[in-house]
Amino acid sequence: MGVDAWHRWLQSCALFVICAGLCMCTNDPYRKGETQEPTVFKVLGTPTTRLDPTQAYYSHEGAIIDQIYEPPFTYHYLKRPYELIPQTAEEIPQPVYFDNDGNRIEEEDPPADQVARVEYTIRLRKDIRYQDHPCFAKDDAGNPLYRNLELKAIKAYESPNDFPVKGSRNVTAHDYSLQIRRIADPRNTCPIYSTMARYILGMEELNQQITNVLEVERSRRKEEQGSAYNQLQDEKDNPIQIDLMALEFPGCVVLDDYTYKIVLSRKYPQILYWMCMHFFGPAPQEVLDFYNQSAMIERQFNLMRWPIGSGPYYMDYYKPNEKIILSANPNFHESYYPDEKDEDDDPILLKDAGKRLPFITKQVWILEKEGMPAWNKFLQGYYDSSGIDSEVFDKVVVMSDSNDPNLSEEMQQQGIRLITSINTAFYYMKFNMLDDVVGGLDEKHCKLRQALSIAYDANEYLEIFYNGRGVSAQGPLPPGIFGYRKGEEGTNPYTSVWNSITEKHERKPLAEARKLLEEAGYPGGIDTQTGKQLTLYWDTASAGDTGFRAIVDWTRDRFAQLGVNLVQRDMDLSQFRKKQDEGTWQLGASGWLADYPDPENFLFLFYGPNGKVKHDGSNAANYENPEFDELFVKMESMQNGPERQAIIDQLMRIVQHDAPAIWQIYPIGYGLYHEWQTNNKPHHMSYNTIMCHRIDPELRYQRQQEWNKPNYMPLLILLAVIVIGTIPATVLIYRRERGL
Amino acid sequence: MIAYIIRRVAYAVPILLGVNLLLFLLFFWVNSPDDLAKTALGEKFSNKEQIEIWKQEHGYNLPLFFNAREGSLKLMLTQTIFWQKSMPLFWFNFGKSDMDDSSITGEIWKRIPPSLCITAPTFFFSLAFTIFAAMIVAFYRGTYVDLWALLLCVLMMSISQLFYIIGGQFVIAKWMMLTPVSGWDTGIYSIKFLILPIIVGLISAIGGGIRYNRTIFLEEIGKDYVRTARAKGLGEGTVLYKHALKNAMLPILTSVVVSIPFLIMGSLLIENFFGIPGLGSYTIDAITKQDFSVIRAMVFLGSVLYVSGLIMVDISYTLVDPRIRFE
Repeated sequence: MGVDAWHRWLQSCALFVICAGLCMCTNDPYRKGETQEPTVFKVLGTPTTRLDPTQAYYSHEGAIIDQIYEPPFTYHYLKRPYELIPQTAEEIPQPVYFDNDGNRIEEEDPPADQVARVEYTIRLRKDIRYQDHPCFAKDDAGNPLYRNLELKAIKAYESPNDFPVKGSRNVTAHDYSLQIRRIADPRNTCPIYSTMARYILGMEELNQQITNVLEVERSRRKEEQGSAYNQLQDEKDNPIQIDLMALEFPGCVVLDDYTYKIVLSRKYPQILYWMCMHFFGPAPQEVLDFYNQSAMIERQFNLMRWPIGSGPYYMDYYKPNEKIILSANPNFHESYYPDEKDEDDDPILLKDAGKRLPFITKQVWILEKEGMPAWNKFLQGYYDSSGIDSEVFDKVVVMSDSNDPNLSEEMQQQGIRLITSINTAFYYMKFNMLDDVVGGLDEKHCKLRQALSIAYDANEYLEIFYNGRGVSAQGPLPPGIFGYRKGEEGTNPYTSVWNSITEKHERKPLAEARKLLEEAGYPGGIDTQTGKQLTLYWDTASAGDTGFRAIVDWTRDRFAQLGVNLVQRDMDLSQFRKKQDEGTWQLGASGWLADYPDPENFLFLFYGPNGKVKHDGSNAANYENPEFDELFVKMESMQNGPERQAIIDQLMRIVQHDAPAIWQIYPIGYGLYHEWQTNNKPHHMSYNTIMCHRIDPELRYQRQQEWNKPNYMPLLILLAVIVIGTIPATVLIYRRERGL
Repeated sequence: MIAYIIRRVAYAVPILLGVNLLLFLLFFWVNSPDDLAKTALGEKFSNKEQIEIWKQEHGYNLPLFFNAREGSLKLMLTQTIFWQKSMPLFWFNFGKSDMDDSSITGEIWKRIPPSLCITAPTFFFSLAFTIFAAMIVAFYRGTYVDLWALLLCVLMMSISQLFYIIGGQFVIAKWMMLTPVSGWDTGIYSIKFLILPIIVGLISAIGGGIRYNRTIFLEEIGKDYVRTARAKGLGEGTVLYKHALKNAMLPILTSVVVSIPFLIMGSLLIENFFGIPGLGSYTIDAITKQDFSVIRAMVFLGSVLYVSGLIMVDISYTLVDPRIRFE
């Protein structure tokens, strides 16, 4: 074959490859057949880092492991207000109270100051089994099969799922006890340790025992190794083994294989809510022994990446920088879709009542760090549900005359459904109560803060920055939490009025704010003592965030209407934190997302002994009002009822009057769902609800095929432009070569 | 040559030490170990007690550079954050991430292939294309083709890569539906995820590349040996491809060879927007999460690659130009 023939042959091949490539082109990000299974495809916005139940803290990590671990209790999927139901426990335990002398208190809800000890006895179901896992595998003699492993023996394995032999066993009380002990282990840096140590009997002492063992061992090793000692490296190669179950810990007592007792040092009914979280899930000793081998450490087979539980799903594939796959756990115990719902719920939510869970056999969580690609893939049908970014909000949602959100026609044509729900969260702009200008509980300072609160029109703020996705907040208690008063009853009388036509809380007129400001000693925003304009400082660590700058500008405009000057002091995060710790700031933005649905979890943000500066607590505003504190202590350990409601009402009035913060908004979550995903009801307390969702894979596949037909026309136009564009150049060569 | 390479490697040690020291000073100038702990623990639950525990467990409870509590000078220097965290880097022991305790070395090895899958084809295609296109533009020098090509190049250089990414995702993935918008898969399944990022990388690189290479070619074209070749009656194509190209390779090589080691570092923006689990997105994540261990490792790796790139340039000079010798 001559050179020309070769050229022709190569050109034909290239043309064939290009044509074949174009014909095979598809925007489908999945492998063939993947979407034809009852699999749900979800967006993972941030890579998970810690899946150890003792350490996982962020909501995106909870979204994964809460489907693997089963704490003893959980929340009802459909009922609101949120209701506790047993999960691996047989029932919700009743507290047993003891006084200082150790005598049992027969009263159902005794005052907290009479209680010296509380016991909760948890009886576990006997049909709960762990997922199949190599840590349970045994040899013929009944000994653990995979112990003292060499690295070369497991080098070929990508995950613990690759081990050829696996086993399982029942979940027992010992496993729950071990996990609670792990909370106290300093090596796990459990985020809730400090909170739990305040309530669980002996947890602080347990932590001290472990710390002492670690200190002794580390000192010994340091002495042995001298200047070459590197704690991290050393413990990676040779982890310090501590038998946690051998240490004395009166806070959790195992009564038998299926019964254990949690002992608290004070009355704290919220412990049951904590026990719905993964921190209180079971941890089998076998898995700790299995993962504590140096070969496993080297291969990064650990609880941080490969959790093990008894929940509806198990970790099948873990590459958080790419995707996470959870598959249905074949050992999952009997669990059924609820047969009760809320009055307001669509009856279709009970279509699957009484059917065995889970309906979805696989969950694929794909990392999407940017919002736009995820949104486009949702519109192409490659994700089953989505939130709404503010960039696309106007294209998706149309507000009706009554200001109700409706989907745009385009979305409706695609069969997309919109479900909204108020989050159990609130945002606020806090005042530093230790500051000379904005702090203080005297009437003048309260009036200053009330005036600023009126000027800060939360409804306008919502419209501009949240596309109306929220409700004007009246205090620190959001809807859905016991104690919240809706409508006119819940109005903050110092800053707002209830508009019965729009059914919204509105800020009082600015004239009222000006009057309050004058009474506070700042007529027209001028300080009567100095004659200068009142200037407030908003300390931020926004790192040039233009969106945040717009919020600052808007706030500045609002305050300027009272004659008050607002200055933003932007700084790096380190400086910002330092100022927070020292209490040398004036104004700051904050938000709170509920850990559990109890008013205590919101009102404690204003409890004096939780003050940030004095007590290193969560009360970032450093608010301290003895009257509030006294009532809070009374309320925190009470059972829900009219008496508790009355105290909450008083607490709300106090914070509304003192205004340690400008109550901004209660955010509303907007969720979009394709028609093939059903049984959707947003749940803001629990993440283990995906097992209740249902997918119609056939409908999904059909829609994906309809919506994603390749469009070659732009490519042909581009080719034509290139060809036409080269004609003058070819003419030029022709003329040049021939000297024309 | 071996002696020269050894000498250059030895010179690299103080450079790397200096880079490390500078990084430590800059990082801890704006951050304290307490800040790292707060970021790792989350604002919600981080109190002083938790912070101390975290620092103890992650080796940040030691002083930065000098530990006066120790008895001997050796321990005073070694039982410090700088020593414990920096020295292992020199034998490529990058340690564990501060945020998730994962092995950094393991992550780097896992993330190099996806990064290379994007950067290597982008680099070599853009190199071939820009050399070829630059020669064509040089061929048409002084004509309207040259003028329009230059204008187009300047335009392409002026547009941010972000625009190409979003535009590419909109046109090719959303409008034409030819490739997935974003994502990643393993093995042969990754090909469909590579097409769009490579096209975007290519488009954003060719403007500058063509202009740079055109300048080199024009300089060569003005030299005596080219005039001689033309005087011999050789066609313009032969002059360009057979004579000018070979001589123009030396300056092109300088920019090319120094870039090769950096290919494994990936592309920060492209990886982030296309969901590619490479080293670029690893670095971005580390910066976002203030994961000092990973930042330190990536900066060290970057310095090593830069130094090795420079050594490779020197070596490649001798290969393409026999007049250059090591001294």
